[in-house]
Order: sequence, then C-alpha cells, then structure tokens
Amino acid sequence: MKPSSRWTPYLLVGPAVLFFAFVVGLPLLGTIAMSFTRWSGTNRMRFIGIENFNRAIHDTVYQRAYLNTLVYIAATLVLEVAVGFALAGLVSIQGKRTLWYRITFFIPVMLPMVVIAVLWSFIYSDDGGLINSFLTGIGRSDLRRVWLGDPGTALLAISVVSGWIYAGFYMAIFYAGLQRVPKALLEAARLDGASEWDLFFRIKAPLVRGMTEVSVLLCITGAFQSFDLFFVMTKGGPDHTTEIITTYLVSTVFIDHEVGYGAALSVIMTVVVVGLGLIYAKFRREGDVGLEY
Amino acid sequence: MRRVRSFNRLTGVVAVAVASLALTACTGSGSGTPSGSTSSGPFAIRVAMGSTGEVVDGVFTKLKAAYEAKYPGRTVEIVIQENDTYETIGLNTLLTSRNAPDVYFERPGTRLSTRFDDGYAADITDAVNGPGFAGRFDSAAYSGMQIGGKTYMVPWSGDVTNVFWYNKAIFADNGLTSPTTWDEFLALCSKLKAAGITPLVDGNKDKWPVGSIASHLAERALGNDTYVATIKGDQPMNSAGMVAAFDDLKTLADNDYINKSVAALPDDQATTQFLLGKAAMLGIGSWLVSDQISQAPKLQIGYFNLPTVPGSGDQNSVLGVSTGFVVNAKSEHVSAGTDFLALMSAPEASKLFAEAGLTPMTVDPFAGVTADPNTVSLANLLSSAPTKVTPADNIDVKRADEFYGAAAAVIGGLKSPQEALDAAQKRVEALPES
Repeated sequence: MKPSSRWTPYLLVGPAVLFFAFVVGLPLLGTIAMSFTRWSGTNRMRFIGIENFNRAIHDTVYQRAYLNTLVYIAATLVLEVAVGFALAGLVSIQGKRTLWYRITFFIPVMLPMVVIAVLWSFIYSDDGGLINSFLTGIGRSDLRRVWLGDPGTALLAISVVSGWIYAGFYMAIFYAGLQRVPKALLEAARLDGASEWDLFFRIKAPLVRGMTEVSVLLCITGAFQSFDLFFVMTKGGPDHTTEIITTYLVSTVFIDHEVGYGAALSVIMTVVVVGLGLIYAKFRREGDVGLEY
Repeated sequence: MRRVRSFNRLTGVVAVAVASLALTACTGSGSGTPSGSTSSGPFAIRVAMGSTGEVVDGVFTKLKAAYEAKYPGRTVEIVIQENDTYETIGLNTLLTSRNAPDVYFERPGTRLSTRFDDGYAADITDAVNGPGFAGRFDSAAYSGMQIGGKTYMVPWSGDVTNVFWYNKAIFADNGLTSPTTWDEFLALCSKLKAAGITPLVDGNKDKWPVGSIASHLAERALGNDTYVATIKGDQPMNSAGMVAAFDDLKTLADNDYINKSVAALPDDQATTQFLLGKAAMLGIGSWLVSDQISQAPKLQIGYFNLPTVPGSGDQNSVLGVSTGFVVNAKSEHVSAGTDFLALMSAPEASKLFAEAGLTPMTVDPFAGVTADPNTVSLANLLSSAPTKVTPADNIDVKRADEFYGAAAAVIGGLKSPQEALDAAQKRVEALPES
C-alpha cells in the first residue's frame, strides 16, 4: 500500500529514531568524546588526545581481563550452549512428558543474578560450604579448595555457576527449534532404522544450526556483558584472575574515579565486540539447509 | 533473506556494545550548580552521607528536628545512601546534580583535597573559630582538614582502622597473653595452630582489611614519611624495606597462621567467624565493637595494637582514620550549613553519637555515656598515639589499590613479596600524573 504522503514513513519511524538517538546515540557520542579526556566525574574535563588509549594498550590488568573473558567464553560455550543443547535433546525425546524437567532447568534463568551469586558463594565457601562438606563427607578432604580464592579454580567456579543459570535458557531455545523438526522426516528415518542417536545428530542438530549460531553469538556477547556474578563472587580477585572487562571498567570509573580512562576502555571494548560480530558474520557457514522461522 | 538475518545479528551485536558504552556515559557530566533556593525566605538544606547503621541514622533524624526547632523557616533534608554506594558513585553524583547537598560527609586528606580542588569545599575557618564550635575540638582533631591554613571540614568521628582482636576465652584456655613483638605474635600463632585453632581470620575479598595491616607494617618498617611518600608515588613501592614489611605477611600465609580463605572471604563473614569462636584473632578496626554487641554480646573480646617489628618507624603508632563533614562551596546556604555542623558538634549530639556506638572527635566524646570499655580504650589509644598512620587508601586511592593488591597477593600465597611489589610498582609507574 502506497503512503498518502511522502513524509508518512519518516513520521512513523521518527519517534523510534529519536528515542534511539537519545538513549543510545547521545551516550555513545558522549562516551567517545570523554575517552579523549581526563575527568574524575567532578573536576574540569581536560583534553588529553589519545593518551587514554595508549595507556589502555599497555595496561596489563586490562589485557588480563580480555584473556579471562576469552577463557570464560570458551567455558560457557560448553557449559551453557553445549549443555543446553544436550538437555534440549534429552527432553525433546520424551516431548510433553518433560514439562517439569524443562521448568526446573529454566528456573535459574528467572532468579535474580545477585541472589544466585550470593547463594553459590556459600556453596563454594571454604568453611561449611556444600562442596567442601561433600568432599569431606566422602573422605576426599584432599580435594577441598578455597574455590573462589584459588587462582586455578576461581574462574572455572564462576563459569560453572553461569552454566547452571543459562543452560536452561539455551535448552529452551534449542527445544523450540527441535519441536519444529518435521515429524514425517523423523518417522521416515526411523523406518529406515535410524536410532535416537542418529536422529539427533544427523537430522535434528543440522536442522537447528541457525539456532546454534544465534546461541553462540548470544553466549559470546553475553560474556562481554557479564558483571554481576564476577562482582559479587570475587570482585575480580584473587590477583585479577577473575577480572573481566566490565569489573575492571566499574573499578576504574566508580572506585578510581577515572571516568575518561573508563570511557576509553569501553570504546575499545565496543570496537572489539563489534569486530568479533563482524568476523563471526563473515565466517558463518552459508548455503546449508536449515529450518525456516 | 540471509542478508537481512546477518544484519539483524550485527545490529544485536552493536546494540549490546552500545549499551555497555551507555553505562559509562550515563555517569553524568556537567558541573555542579548551586541549590535553587535563597536564604531570604524559608529554605531547606540537604545533608548527605553514607549509612553507618540504623542507630546512627536515627541520630540525624533527631538532629534534623532539633535544627528545625532552633531555626524556624529552615528545614533539613537528610540524604543517606548505602555506604559503598556513597563513597564510590553516590557523592559524586550528588555533587554534580542540580540539587547538590549543602553539607556532606567526607574523609580528610586526599579526598578532601580533591573536593577542594573541584570547588566543593567551603572555607569555614571563621565559623569553626566562632562561638558555635568554641571548645568543642582540640586543634589536633582538624588534622588533614585544613588546606593552606584554612579549615574546610568539621571533625565528626574517629576509628582505629586496624588492631588484632582476640577471643579472651581462647587465649585464657591456652595460657596466652597479648604479644608485644612480632616474634611473640608468631610464637602465639604457632601455639594456637598446634592446638588446632585457626590463629587469625580475615576477609580480604575487598583487599582493604589486609591492606590496612600492610599499611601499618609499612609505616613501622619504613617510618611514616617514607610510607606516605611511597603511597604518593614519590618513593618506589618495591624498596627493600617494603619487601621486608611484606615478608611479615608472607610468614602468616606460609605457616597457615591465617585462614586459607582469606582471599575470597568478605570482611563481614570473617567477623562472623571470629564472633562464632572459629578463630582466636581477627585483624580489623574499632567498629568490631558494635558487631560484637549486636551479634555476640556474651563474647569476651580484647585487642592489642600491631606488635613491634624491626624498622625505623614509630613502634607505638596507631593506624586510624578520622571523618568529618564539609560545607559545599557551591551551596547558597553555607552559613546555615555550618549552623547544622555546630549543632552536630554540641555536647548533646556528641552524647547521642557516642551512645550509638561511634567515637566522636569532640573533646568529651564519652561524657555522661556508658560506652563499651573497648570503644573508650580504642578512642584513648587513637587520641594518645604518638604517630597516627593513615591507611593507604586515604592517601592515594589508585596507588593504594596497587599496594593493597600486592598485599592481597602475598597473604593469599599467590606471589612472593618481591614479585607482588615489583608488579605493583610497574602498574604505579604506568599511572598518569595526578
């Protein structure tokens, strides 16, 4: 249908564009501008050129934060996406009879993150924590650890909590996709002698590839957004072994009051995340058959 | 179709990234502006602070009523934020808001200097020398509150930031008495450990608890001037003297004299463990008294100051901080603000604060008050200290962060003192000039 006036499309999208400009565009430009300044938040802003960026490149804790984020992404791709996919595969076999399982797996997604972080801090506690108490109970006190205070286990411990939360979320996504796999296709495969294993890996999994790609992208971008778990459980410690970009950003801006430097760090992070997204989009496999949504 | 889907994903990525940027951008910009009201008619003053507990917060409600009764036409708006929020983002946001506080809580020293440099500290020299404050504070109470010979802060309360608290029953059962030297302290720890008792518990998740002990050890080893110069960046952080001071921390970690969970434990949980009798000692400040009164009123506790260590510092020094209130230089009600602070410093208010568990910095903090003996004793310790040592984070926040990080790495058994301090020095050198 042709609009009655050539201005109609602009009027329709105008409010959304204005809203986007106000809540995203202006802060974005403001942050970029601030990244070239030295500013504590209360003093007079001072233009310092690219000094903040130069400092960030040589900032060993900032570099460590990226490394930790990459490790966290790798861990959560397994603990969230792969486990979520496996759970979806399991519950899809039994269909509607798995309703309570699906609800149970999804419940952690609905809980407040800070509450989860505090609860798991107690589970990991050295003194009376569930895990160490269990290990003592089964006679394996030698395996007891200060899970959140040991550089070798702290990041993995947080990743496990992240997996516990989001595996149910990815399960829901994959389950929805698996439900859309044509029944006739599965029946035909069964008649040809395919096992449930074959059905899952040779038919279902390839058909939900698009969802897998979305899930991987969500997992990666979500890792860059992570904050609550890390801040509550370890505050980036011990010795920066769980420092991620966001915890370092918050520390820089709100504790050290280096707003200009923090802005530069966030600009760099934005470039990295967008760059990763572009690379991901470029290297996506194309041309395979997938489900239409 | 595929191009559209790719675009949508890319849009998602950009949106996520932009949202993260917005977090920082929304911290606010612009300079502080004066309050809109004028002093000619009825007006309100805003008094901002971080919460130090419901009882203390309640005292301010009483002061508000007293002030409004004394000065008809004036009202007081008390703005109390969660303490961490106030000290990190809260006060900055308030000061740069359109409705900035007229009076606000702050710490003397570097933080006050920053407020002064940014134009948020009014010169109240004449007022504090006037009748409203006459005889209420010793001149020493204004330490760190004066810049260029002028006064910019009214003292409020003082805290000893670190002593070693001990469980009297555990000490008595094991025939122990307060140590005076570091060697005696280590021998005491050894005896407790042999008895199957955790000698010392601390929660260093936030790095300042052990950072405070490290501050004190550094002063004892190097002397206060060198310690302060080090934290200000005028001396290297990885000097031989500092490494020696950190060796004392390493001894505690290497011999399991401190809880293994020290790096991961929050300070409040360490306090709980001590109050539950799970460790013989706890290294923390004078505020433990209020926790002990509320959580374990029957527990008998005592304290001793940091034992002496070999070094050129004052071996009788006390690690402590004072706090106070500043009148906003951009306020239109500077005089009304100082009137409120005068009321806060009056004997009646001082008594209320002491009853609430604080140690007021007035000349008679416990007059007419039945205060906890430990609180009174600590107040005397602080006021009679030949050298009052300031914790590093009250000297320079950024360098203190590296210093505390080094102490955390050593007490957590993650690095040797030399490695930890070398790393801290490298980071400090990369900091921009203040």
